[in-house]
Amino acid sequence: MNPPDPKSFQKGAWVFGAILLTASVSGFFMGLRQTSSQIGTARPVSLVTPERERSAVLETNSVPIAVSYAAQDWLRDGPNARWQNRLTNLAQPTPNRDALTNVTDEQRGQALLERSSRRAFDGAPPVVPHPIPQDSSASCLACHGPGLAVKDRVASKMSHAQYTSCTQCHVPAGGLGLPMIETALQEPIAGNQFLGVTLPLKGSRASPQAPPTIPHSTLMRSDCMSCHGPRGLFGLRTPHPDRQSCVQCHVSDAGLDQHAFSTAAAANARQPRAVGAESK
Amino acid sequence: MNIDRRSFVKLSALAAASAVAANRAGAAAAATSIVTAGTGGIAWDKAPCRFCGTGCHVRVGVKDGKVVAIEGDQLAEVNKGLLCVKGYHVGLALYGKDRLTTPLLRKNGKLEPISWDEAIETIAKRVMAAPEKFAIYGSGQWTIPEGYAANKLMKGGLSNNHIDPNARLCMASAVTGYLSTYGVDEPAGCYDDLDKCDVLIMWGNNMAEMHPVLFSRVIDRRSRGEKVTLIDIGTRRTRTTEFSDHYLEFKPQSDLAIMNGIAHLLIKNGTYDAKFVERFCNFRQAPKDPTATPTAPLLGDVMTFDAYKTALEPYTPEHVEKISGVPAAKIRLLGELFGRKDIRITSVWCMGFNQHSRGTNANRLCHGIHLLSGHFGKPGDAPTSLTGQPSACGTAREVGTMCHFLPGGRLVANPEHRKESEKFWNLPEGRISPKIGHHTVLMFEKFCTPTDKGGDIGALWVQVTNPGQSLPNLHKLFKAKKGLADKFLIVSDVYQTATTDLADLVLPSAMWVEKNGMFGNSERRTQQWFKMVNPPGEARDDCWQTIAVARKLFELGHPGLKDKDGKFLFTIRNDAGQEVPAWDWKHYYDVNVDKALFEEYRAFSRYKHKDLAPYDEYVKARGLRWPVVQQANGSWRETKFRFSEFDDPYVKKGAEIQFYHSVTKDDKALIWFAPYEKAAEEPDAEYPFWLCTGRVLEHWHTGTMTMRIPQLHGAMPHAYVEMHPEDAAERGIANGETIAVKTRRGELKLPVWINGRARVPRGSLFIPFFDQRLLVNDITLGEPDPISKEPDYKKCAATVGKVSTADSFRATTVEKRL
Repeated sequence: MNPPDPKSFQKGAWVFGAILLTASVSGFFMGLRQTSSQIGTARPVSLVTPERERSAVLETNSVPIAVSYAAQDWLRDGPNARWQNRLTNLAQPTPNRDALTNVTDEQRGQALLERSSRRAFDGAPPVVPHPIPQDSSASCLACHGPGLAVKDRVASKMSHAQYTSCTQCHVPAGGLGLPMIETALQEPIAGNQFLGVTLPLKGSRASPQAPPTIPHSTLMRSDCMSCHGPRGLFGLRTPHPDRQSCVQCHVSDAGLDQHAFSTAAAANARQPRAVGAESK
Repeated sequence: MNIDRRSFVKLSALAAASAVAANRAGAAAAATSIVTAGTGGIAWDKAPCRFCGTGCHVRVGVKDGKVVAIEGDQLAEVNKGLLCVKGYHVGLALYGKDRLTTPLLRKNGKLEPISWDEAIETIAKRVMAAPEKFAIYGSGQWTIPEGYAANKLMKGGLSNNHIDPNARLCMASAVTGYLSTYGVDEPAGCYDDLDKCDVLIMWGNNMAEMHPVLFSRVIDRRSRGEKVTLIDIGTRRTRTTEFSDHYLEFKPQSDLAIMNGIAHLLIKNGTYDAKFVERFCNFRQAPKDPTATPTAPLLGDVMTFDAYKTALEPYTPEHVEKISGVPAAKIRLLGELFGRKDIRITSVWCMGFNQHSRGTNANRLCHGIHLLSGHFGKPGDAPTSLTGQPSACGTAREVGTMCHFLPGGRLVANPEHRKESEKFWNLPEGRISPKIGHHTVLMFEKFCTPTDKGGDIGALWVQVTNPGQSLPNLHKLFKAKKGLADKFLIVSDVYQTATTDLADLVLPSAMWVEKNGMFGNSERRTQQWFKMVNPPGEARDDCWQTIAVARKLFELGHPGLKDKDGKFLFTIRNDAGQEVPAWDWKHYYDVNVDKALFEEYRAFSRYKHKDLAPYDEYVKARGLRWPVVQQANGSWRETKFRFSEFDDPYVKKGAEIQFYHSVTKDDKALIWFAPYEKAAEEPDAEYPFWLCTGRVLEHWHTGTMTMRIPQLHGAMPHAYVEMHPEDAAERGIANGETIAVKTRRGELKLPVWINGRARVPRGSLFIPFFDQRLLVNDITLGEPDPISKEPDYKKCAATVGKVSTADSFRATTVEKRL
């Protein structure tokens, strides 16, 4: 047997080292491309793999097939697929006034329907349709303070003066956001047959060109533009967003005056009930 | 104009009623026409919210006989138009699909519908058979007339003092704290203190979730540019902490040490208010012989200032740090704040101090540091306990629906008080029994004990509360009733609950605006509302139920139901002076029974200067804070700050501050010393965790109303256990995983929530009690305070264990048990 040639050995070591170096450098840069958006931040990070994932793997007796790095392109898939890193693309579109002047009753009704899907009755604080941090209201105003529109997603501007504790009134529709096995606990104890008041479709006008009255209470609705402005629901948009002083022309319906004290209830209390009063 | 018969009848009834109403209310009201309902045919009227002790006012919108909308009442001083999520959805509480609509009697294990007549007779016969074995368990959610009627029936009718409210489980220690400090119950200050304070200290309470509107009242001051410092002293981080400037995390029970630490510093630094203490305070300590007299534990022994100073000597900041875990620097910060004369400090507390095995002492100590430092008697300087329930103050405490009280702050044990009450009720002398009845825990203990083993409560009537879920140590205090054939449980409620599950007779009740009512909130504000809608099916007012049973007893010949002149105890007259048979449901609303009972009850309120105004004043106002005193011009003036000369008309001229119900009868309040003592059951090797229980924003107490409101249930669908992430990691527990929480009393399997709404420290667990499918009170201890008898729900020892997927919680849909 010939002793190994020191020169070829050295050459082999250089080649090996070069391959190693190339592999590690390219691996490093590929790893950088994976952005933090891939780490799910919507749910708290599990410190231990929940049991169901473990047992699922064991039960099927196979190992899930991983996608190769080359085949992954996170930036082409998923919710951020059309994201563009240019601020100008976030600029708000100038409202097309002609498109706004002829909102139909159907469109109005559509808008009211969407509003009422998040509210127990007109005037109730809407539930929050997205997950929120449960411990603090500090981040709510980041989007709902100025109001924000990104493509077709809108974070409505708060319609009332600022109160410090947002989650005192606005609670998430989606519960605790816990990754859970038992869905039976999510079920309600019983249904509810409350029917909340709904808004009239539009205010009344004294004559065809007169400004309509405001067909709703203005309590907690001090910023008209949050619903009726260019970022509001389409069916509610005002045809003249350039005017600043809404209440110069549009006034509240007197029947909505909170200060009018109804004594009808007092009268009810003394009325003899009809025998065999119907159940509700 | 064509008008159908129904509208015609309605209109003419309205017209007739409006004429009568105008007549009754006088000339001024005649100008107010009946509002033909506002836009959309909605009629609005005022009511206090059904839920917490804040006592916000709401406007209820009614259309076609149903509640359709709720608004915050802008004219209300308490909340000024703002509500919280529960308040905004309070109207939905009436409309759960499974409302109880008929009386039900358990026959062969199953609840069967019966008539009201049969139900009333069943109760009356049970009472007649053994009136001394009958008990009523009432509620801080009772309206004032409801509690008054029950109290009168038991104490003035049946000579039976076995009546106690669920407020025993929440406010009893606050009551004994007030009584032993000021000689009279309830806060001296009011919510105006929140508007004026420079520092707000929250002692073991999560105000952001439990009294949200009051909390907003403080933090929204910051948006107006005011500087207010919030200090959260608690055992875990909550939403309140996120708004606070300082967070002091303390080991459970060591709140006692912290307050002693503050008192220690005030004396050591010489910053206590020597003049205030000399003029207005005496000192007190626990009695050497607590059995010497029945009131010895409450009144204690005299203590000199020097003895007080000596007793406080060990509570240096370093020593307090060792006990509590709060850094000495933060104790010094508190000491400095209390030592300053240029700031106003308000302390608020709720269940952390009250549901405490030394709750009376905790309350006393907090009053003590305010008195010692002179932070008392000026707007913004106040120690104020916040009440949990809407009328724990107005009903349970003021009407005296407790086993040892008579209305207006009187005692059954006091012969003068009995004589006075017998006079007000026109009873023969000696009718009221001097024997103190069973307090809540004892009442249920006796009810769950076989009769031949000393269980001397045989029939128990529960109204407007859910002890089957809210009592501690449920197996012992409630579930043990099962299998005791001669025990009879009557429950008046609106939905199926953990309590109706073991009931023998269930009575469907009217709730909130389905009846007239009155509540009294945390700041002594009595509030009134009128019935606005009809209750469903055969549901009827709780007050009517009590009067109907009383009438049946009268007819069956029980002598107690007659007054001195042989007249029925509940003789109700209308404004014209004619008797109305209020026990007959058809005629119950021919007259305002609330008004009749309230006007009778008013007379009791003068004794302890808790003067109540006439009923009609409360109709006009959004509540009035007692003492309400009539002025020379006939108007009624409420009192915001008691014992302070500038506002309380009962303080004598020149006194500046006068504690006119002083225990020591010298117009002085008492500053108590009480030592730090360990909790009844602390963590050990076998049970290494502290277990604390409490509430969440979305759910009212046992969730019987709010779990049926979709928006509230959707946000908070089930209970959970909070755990520190490192504790979880050590045990291989993942977020959302079902685990078993075990104490010496039992085991509960439920999901874990890590870093969710609140964050517990290591070695601690927290479970909310609103979920009837996950009864945390199966495993709590509930060690009572020896003076107030209020159980401790905040501390016991627990351990956790993993649960295999096969064993994890599998709730089939909550069965319809009725």
